[in-house]
Formats: sequence, C-alpha cells, structure tokens
Amino acid sequence: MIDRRSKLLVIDASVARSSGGSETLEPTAKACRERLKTILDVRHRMMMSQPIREEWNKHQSNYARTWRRNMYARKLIEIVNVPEDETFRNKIRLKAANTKNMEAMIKDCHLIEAASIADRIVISRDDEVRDLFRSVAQDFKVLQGIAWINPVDPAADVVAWLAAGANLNDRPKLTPTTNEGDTGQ
Amino acid sequence: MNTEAESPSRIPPLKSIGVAGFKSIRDKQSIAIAPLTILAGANSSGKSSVMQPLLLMKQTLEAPFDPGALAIAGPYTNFTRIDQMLFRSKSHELSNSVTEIQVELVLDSNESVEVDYSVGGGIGEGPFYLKSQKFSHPLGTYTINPYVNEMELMKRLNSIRRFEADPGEISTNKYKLMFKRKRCFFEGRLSRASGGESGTIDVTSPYISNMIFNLLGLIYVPARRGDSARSYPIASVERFFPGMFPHYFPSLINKWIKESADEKNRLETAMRDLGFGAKIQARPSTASDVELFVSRLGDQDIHDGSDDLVNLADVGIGVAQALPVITALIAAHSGGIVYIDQPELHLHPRAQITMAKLLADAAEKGVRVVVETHSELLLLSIQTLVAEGYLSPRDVKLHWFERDKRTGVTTVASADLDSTGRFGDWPEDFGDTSLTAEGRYLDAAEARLSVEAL
Repeated sequence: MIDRRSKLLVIDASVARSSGGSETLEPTAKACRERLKTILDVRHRMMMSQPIREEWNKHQSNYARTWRRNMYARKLIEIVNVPEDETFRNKIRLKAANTKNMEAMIKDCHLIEAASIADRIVISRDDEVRDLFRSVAQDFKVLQGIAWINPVDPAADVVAWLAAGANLNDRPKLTPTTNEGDTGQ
Repeated sequence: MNTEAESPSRIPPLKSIGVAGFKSIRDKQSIAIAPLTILAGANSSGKSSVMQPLLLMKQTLEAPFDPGALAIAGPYTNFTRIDQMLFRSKSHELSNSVTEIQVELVLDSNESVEVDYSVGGGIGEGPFYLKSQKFSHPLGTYTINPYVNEMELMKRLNSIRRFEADPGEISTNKYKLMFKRKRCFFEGRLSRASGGESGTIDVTSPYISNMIFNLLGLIYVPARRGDSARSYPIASVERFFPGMFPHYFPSLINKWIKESADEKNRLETAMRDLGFGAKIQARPSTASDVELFVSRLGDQDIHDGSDDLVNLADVGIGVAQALPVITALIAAHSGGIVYIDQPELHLHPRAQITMAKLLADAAEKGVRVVVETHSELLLLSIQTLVAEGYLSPRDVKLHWFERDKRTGVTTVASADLDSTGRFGDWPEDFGDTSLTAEGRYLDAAEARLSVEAL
C-alpha cells in the first residue's frame, strides 16, 4: 500500500547528473544525494517516462544509478507512457520570446507533461528553464499548477519538505503574480 | 528406516517451515520454501535460527544411536546446554519462561506436522522430550500427546484417515492405539486388540516418513566448508548425505568422472562459467583417499590441448569453497532441499553473478535451494534473471530477518518478486547500505578535493 505521504515526482536528469561525477567539487552534489536519499527513505515515487529515462541514462552519476535501482526494486518508479502534448508545445512555440527560449522550453516540455499527470511536482536544478516557464505561465493553466523545485535551493529546506510529504501547496507554483491573460491550455 | 525405498518423485517436498521458542525466535515465525529461497538480514538477525531446528532433527535421525527426541550436538550443531537453544529475552518486558521448541513442517500436499520439544526429558530421555505432535491434513487435524484421550483420537483418526475400522468396533475397544517415539517424531499403530501384526495400521504413515525423507534428503553446505586438502577421505555417495556435505563432494566428483558424463559436464561448465579452470580430475591417492586436480588457467587448456592440472590445495580458496556448493546443486534431487550458507563466499563479484545463475538452474531443475546471503550482488543478479525471463518470479521467495533491538526478538518479513524482479517494500537494506556507503565516500572525497582545490 502506498503511504499517503508518498508523492509521484518528476525528477529531472539534472539532479541525477549533479549527484556525483563531473560536479564533484560543488557542494550541490552532496545536497542532491541527500535529497535523493530522502525521496527513497520517505518512499516518494518517481515518474519515469521515455524521455526522462533517456535523459537519466545519458546523465546519471553512479550514485544516481544505484539510487534508481533501489527505487525500482521497491516499486517506487512508475513507468508511464506520456504522449507529447502538441497543443501545449505549439503554444509554447508561439509564446516564447525568442528561438533560444523556445528551444530551451521545448526540450523540457516532457517534464511538464509528465508532472501534469503525476503530482505536479518537478524537481530540477535548471532554474533558467524554470524562469522561462514562469515567464509564460500566465498563458498556461497547466504551468500554473506545477511546483518547480530546485533541490539545492538553500532557502527552500527541500529535505524537510520532502520528509513532511512534499505537499504541493507548501511550495510556490509557476503561477505568475497575477493571473491576467489566463487562456487555459 | 525404510525411506530409502520410497520413490523420491512421490514424496511431497517441504513448502514451509515454522519455528518458535528457538534462539532469537519467540513466537512462531514461518518461511515459505520456494525453489529459490533467499534468507537475508544482518549478522545475528536469526536467519540460521529458522533452519537449525531442521538440522537438529536431521542429526537426530542420522545419529548412530538414539539420542532422545533431539540430538543437540552433532555434525550440524554444537549446543552443550539447553539455555543456548531456547529463546531468552534481553528485555524485562518479555517473560523468559520459554521451555519448548516448536517446529512446523508443511509439505506441498498441505499435510503438516507440528512438533513440540519440551525441556526436561529426564534421565534416559535426553535434554528434550517429545511433548506433542499435531498433524494437519486437508481432512482434519489430530494431536498426539501423553494425555490424549485414546478413544477420541481413534475416532478422529478413523474419520480423517478412513482406516475402514468400524466405528462401533473402536467404541467397543476392539482396536488398540499405540504411539512411541521414534527419534524426533511419534509413530503410531492402530491394531486389533486380538489380532496379530497383520491387523495393524501405521496411522502416522506416510506423513512421518515423508517428513523424515525430506529431512534426510536435506543437503547442508555450511559457510565453513573445510580447508583445501591435498586429499580427501573417500565417502560412500548414495541418495542421502548424512553429516556435513563437504565430506562428500570429492567422492561425488570422483564418481561423476568415472560414471556420469552429464554431471561431470555440468560441473565443468559451472567451473568455467565461474572463471575457474574448466577441467577437473579425481585420482585415488590411497585406497581410502582421493585427490582432486583442477586446471589452473581458466579455459585456456581447452584451446591449446594441454592439461595444466594442479592439486585443489594449490589453487585459490575460492575454487575449493565453491566446489561443495556446485556439487551439492548438481547432486540434489528434485524436491530436495539444498541449504547453503553464503554461496558467495570467497567469490569475485563476477563469479557471484554466475553463482546466482547456478542457483537458478538448480531451482529450475526442481531442487529447493535455500540460501543465506549477505551479497547484494547475488540478490541483484537473481532480480536480473527474473527480469530477463530466465527465472520465474513464482520460483523465488525472499525472507528478511530482523531482531528487535530492545527485546532481541526475531521477526521475518517476506516478499515475492514480480516479473520485473522488483520486491516492493521489503525491508531489504543491502541497497540502502550501498547507497549510504557510496554517498559517504563521495562526501568525503569531494570535501577533500574541495580543500585541495583552494
């Protein structure tokens, strides 16, 4: 039986990469490992779509691989086929301020698509793309419901939040300060 | 005992074991026995405690004299006092008044026997006496103990076993029921009070003989498998292997080399897969000893035709320690239990992965392989074989042993694998331990690199 506290999380490969390997001189690696371990200990689950898996296979550190294997053995990884949402993606192409921003967001649309059918939580180290999504969020109802968490944000106390059940409402969403222009999605 | 004459294929194998009152096991803990059964847990968590009662019964049955209901010292256990065997709590919360060891054996046929061995056998009876024996059968249950109402028991037996004794005759005392201890079990006969031997019915057969067959057929490969020797005493290798199995493997290998190409090929294939020399020879050194020789250079000798054979004592200890395991897995019969303590011992990680496949192959053959292990790699390899479709998840059972830190009581958590090799929320801690160790190393290494980079 799944613990009521257990949330189905989308965890970006940036976390897997940062948990060891080439970033070993950064304190973020230790923090990433600690967050991943907390996710395992609390029995949160991970949403694994095809693009997420491909990204993890490309970037995961040895630590992340061991973590992933443990999550998998405990049935905490849910393999889900998440189809690309062409309407959403086309709208991103239209609303992006420039090509560079558009390409960056399109590359990570799969995280939003997966999170929208999970518990609407993306854990990623990529603040830039988070800010890009936030910049267009007023035009996307789906983005407004997503909490995008940088696991090593020192102000966010992510370990305590994960341990307490990763409550979506305890974290700011990609919601803009005003909801003007919400066209839904 | 006439069990040797039984056809092995007709003997239902053990499907679960329950133990209570023994060592760290207070209340009854049961484990299902699958073709491949994994016992895991920290040191002293009670893994062995669930299997040792079977070894006690086996050594009681194999003793060359009647040692009473339980032989507490013998080839498999070396207890010297009863208090070493009975549950004792570390905490005042639990009573220490345990005076019985209870063992339940359940067969695939759903027949079971639950035996209580109680302290205080008295002079001439051994340290334990057989207090009671409860049979369960799909048609009902009955218990034998010194206080049993003989008439009631006879009626019950007759309804369950259908001895074709007329209930009226039972009630008029035309039948007499007699039980006597035969080593670690009660055996009973129902006989016409006025009849001769021809009128007797063995009321505990075939249940007890099935249990005895399973116990005698159990092969135990301990973690300490003996030192590599230049030569080994020749042993008789028949259906059963009384005593420690490592006494038999050189003679079995000798026999296979002379008489059985199939077993010899399987042995050499296993050795090659494990990365050992792929050839093995047995040469009698005296009339009572045999020497084992293995090729020294992996499978190189196969290609160049040379025989670079050396005495088993002159190769790495891994080979000598793995040979009893491989031999037991090949020698075991379908339905028979091979209980191996840490098959991964002395093996390189690559060989541990291969060992998992050898265990799976034996399980596939019908052997009930029970393994105590501390190897995360062995478990991962078994999960992988399941995910690859090589091993059926139905053929694997995982049992995790834990002791309460305060009371010292052992509990068992069990899990099944699914078709992808996942076990779910089993309290397996190998993975946690390796993840923690990996994280700890990275934390330390990164901290040092950070300081040095300044």
